Amino acid sequence: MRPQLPIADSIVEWDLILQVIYAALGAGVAVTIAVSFAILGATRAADARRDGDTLDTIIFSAVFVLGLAACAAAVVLGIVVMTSKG
Amino acid sequence: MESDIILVIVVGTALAFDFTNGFHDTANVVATSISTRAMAPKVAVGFAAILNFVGAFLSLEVAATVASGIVEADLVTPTVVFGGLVGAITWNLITWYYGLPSSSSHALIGGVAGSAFVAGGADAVLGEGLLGKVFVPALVAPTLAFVTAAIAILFAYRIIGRQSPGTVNRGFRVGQIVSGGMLALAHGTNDAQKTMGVITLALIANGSLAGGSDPPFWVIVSAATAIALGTYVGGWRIIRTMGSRIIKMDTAQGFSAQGAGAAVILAASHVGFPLSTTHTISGAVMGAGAAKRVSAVRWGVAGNIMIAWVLTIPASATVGGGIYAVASVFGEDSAIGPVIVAAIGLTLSAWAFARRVRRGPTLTAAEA
Repeated sequence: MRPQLPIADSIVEWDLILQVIYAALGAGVAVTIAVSFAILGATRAADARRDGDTLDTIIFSAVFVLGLAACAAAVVLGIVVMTSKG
Repeated sequence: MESDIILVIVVGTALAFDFTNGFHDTANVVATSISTRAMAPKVAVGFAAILNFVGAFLSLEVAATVASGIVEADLVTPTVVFGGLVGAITWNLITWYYGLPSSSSHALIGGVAGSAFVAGGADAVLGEGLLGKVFVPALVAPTLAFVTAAIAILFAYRIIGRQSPGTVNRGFRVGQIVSGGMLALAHGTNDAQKTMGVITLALIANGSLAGGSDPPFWVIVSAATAIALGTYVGGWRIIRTMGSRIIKMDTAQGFSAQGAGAAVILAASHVGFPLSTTHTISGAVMGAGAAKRVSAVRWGVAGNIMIAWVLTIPASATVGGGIYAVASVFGEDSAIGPVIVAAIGLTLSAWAFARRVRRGPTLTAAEA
């Protein structure tokens, strides 16, 4: 059983803090992963194109596009959050 | 007549605070981008200034009261707000001088709390509000940003590990421009609104606006302009601390810090949890550095920053309380006190500006 901290519970909004932690950790790490994969996709697709490897070119181009799309979605979501706050 | 004079002084002081807010917080948006050469310094501050201006128009959900839930609302008179604003401006300028990133929001809250304390005694300050809305977020923001940036940079290194540095650097620099833009927009949206709230409250208190009114257009434009101008002037001392004195960062670290910081700020904004942009970005920069190597963070600099955070509320409260005591010495409703304090403040500002002009440009050749 969790120890009760009645005074702290009434002052500090623990639910809100937990929501922030989940959302921030998820979004912060996901955005960096998306950008990293976009960079990886762009680099490897360019290498594969130079080597004439069509399959790898297609796969890594798809990785690049997906990474970029995830970043674009994050930007749109961020703007929606800013405009709808209150 | 007297109340109109106080109103004009409060509006002018609120815009001055807004200017120092932009000036002080430029580093949050541009320091990592400048440090990793994602953008040239002047381009970075220009970009941040424009997006701060735009951000001020994005959402008009203005805070109903200054330091709401932290001080007794009935005690917040224009003179109390004036004392709080001067306390916040003073702390912003002191921390800028020492190149320390500290929260402008906390400085304003501290200033108003100190002013209200002198006006109404200990009961004027709501301890529970301070704990829940200031102290807990001040612990959560840097810790969460630290952990998020640290995990993010480990993933980034793992994914892009063996790729050519040229492409990787270009990619992360583009990412930094986008994440910096998001931060600048978010900063304009959050921080310009504090000033809009202060001015709107003063107008309502003076009877110039009906209770519950939205801010007039001139208030929105002037608050947006003041924060954008402050951002454009740029607090270069803090930019240096944030960009290169805490850690020497590479482009991946710069992006992880900025991306994680933006994510934390927007996530908090989404659920309505008040976090300081400064605490968040500083924590993210430290996290991005420590994840690579703990000794990469200059913990002495980080310690000084944390001391400034701890001192923000008491120091701005002390100045705010002192200013209120002086401003109200001729009576709470008298304009004489605020006029004297404002005249002294303007004289000191003119003297400091003249000194700065005589000393020459604030940018080094490399920064220009």
